[in-house]
Order: sequence, then C-alpha cells, then structure tokens
Amino acid sequence: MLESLLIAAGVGQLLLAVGSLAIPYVLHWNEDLTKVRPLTRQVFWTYAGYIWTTNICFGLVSVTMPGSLTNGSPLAAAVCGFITLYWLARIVIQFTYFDRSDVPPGWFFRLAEFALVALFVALTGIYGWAALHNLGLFST
Amino acid sequence: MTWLIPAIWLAGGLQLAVASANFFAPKKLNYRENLARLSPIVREIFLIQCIYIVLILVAFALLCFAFADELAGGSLLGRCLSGFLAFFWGLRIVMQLFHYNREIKQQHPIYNALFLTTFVTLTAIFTLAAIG
Repeated sequence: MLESLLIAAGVGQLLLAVGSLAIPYVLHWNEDLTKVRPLTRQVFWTYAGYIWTTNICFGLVSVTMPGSLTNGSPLAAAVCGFITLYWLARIVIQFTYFDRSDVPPGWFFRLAEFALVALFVALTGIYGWAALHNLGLFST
Repeated sequence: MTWLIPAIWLAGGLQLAVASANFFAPKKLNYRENLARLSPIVREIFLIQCIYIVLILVAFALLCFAFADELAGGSLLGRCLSGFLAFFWGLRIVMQLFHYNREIKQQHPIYNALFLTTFVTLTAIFTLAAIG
C-alpha cells in the first residue's frame, strides 16, 4: 500500500514538474526579469532550474525505487523526512507568504491553486507516513 | 574505497560553504534595490527560491555527514542519491560556464574560480561515489 502511494506521489511530482514549466509564461517572468541586473536574473533562473530538478529527482526516486524508500533504513527515513518537510513548507508558504492578490483571476487559476494545494497536502502525508514507517513508528 | 568517506564529508563542507554564499549574496548583488523593480509575485518566488536552495544544500550536506558510507555505495538508495548529486553539481558547472555572463565572471575572477573549482570537486566526488 505505502509503496503504491509512493509511486503515485512520484507520478504527482513529475506531473507537477511538467505543469510548472508553464509558470514562467503565465507570470511573465521574462518580461519582469528584464528590470533587474543580469546577475540577479541569472541567479533567479539557476535557482528555478535547481528546484525543478530537485522535484524531478523526488519523482523519479519515488517511481523507480519505492522499496528503497520504505526499507526501514535510517537513510530512507532521512530522505522521506526531508521530502515531507519540503512539501510541508510549501503549504505553509502558500497560505502565509504569497500575496495572492497578484494571482491571475478566473476559475481556472482558482481550480489550479486548489489542485496544487491538494497535491502538496497529499505529498506531505504520504512521505510523512513513509518517514514514520521507516522509524518504526507507524506500521503499514 | 575508504577514501571516499572523507571525500564525501569534504563534499558536505563544500555544500555548506555554497549555501552560506546565499547569506552574502543579498548585499553583494543589491537584492533590495534590484528586487523592488519586480512584480510582487515574482519577487516572492525569488525569495522562496533562495530559502529553498539554502535548505536543499544544508540537507545535502547533512546527508553527506550522516550517511557518507551509504552515499559511497553502501546501498542502492545511497548510490542513486550520489548519482543525483553528481548530476546536480555537473549541471551547475555547465551553468557557470555557459549561463552566467562572461563580463560578470571577468569582473569577479576569484569568485568565478572558487565556485567553478567547488562545483568540479563536488561533481567528481559524487560521480565516483555513484559508480564506485
């Protein structure tokens, strides 16, 4: 059961990574970033690329080796614990930090935000469960 | 390859050093004035990216200190993580060489050399760990 959920979580993260490729166009990053110095612009794109690559990595490792993420080892607990904190922080940021008045209007973006938050919650729950399982605190 | 363990500890230290650069960057790159020109949502995304990058690098460093033997090939998951870290830092070399403006690198040759050396060292260590 937990392994199947991790595979689903991996697929979710890969889909999220593919979907997030649209964000720079939707929010007009290129146009906006022409206003800052070249080095700051390059740092922005570098960081965006790294976070995207990290999300892809989380997805791939979950899809291809769910057994290694649930084998009860300290490394599996650490990796699952880190991914849990990563997505939990994303939920907190969504509701406490982002100025949502600047989000494009319309039902499509409202639905997209709901789907996004639902995915973050699901990912936090699944990896949190896996982390607790690896620590021997929650059996499957 | 027992020498890989201390090499991975070194990689952990180097990643903490790269993470710490983010604490100096705001002043050095004048983020306050620069980011004020952006729309609020893009500015917020950038600040979140900065925080996430620091957290990711600190997490990588902690993995190196706590699980060096597994990253050195002690387990399948450890080996895969080393492969990912090799890719991560290898990509950073490509970006340092081709994404960042040549003029900016010429203005800061010491920083450029330091970063490039660090990225090459990290890529080499994690590549050897992944295949070793």
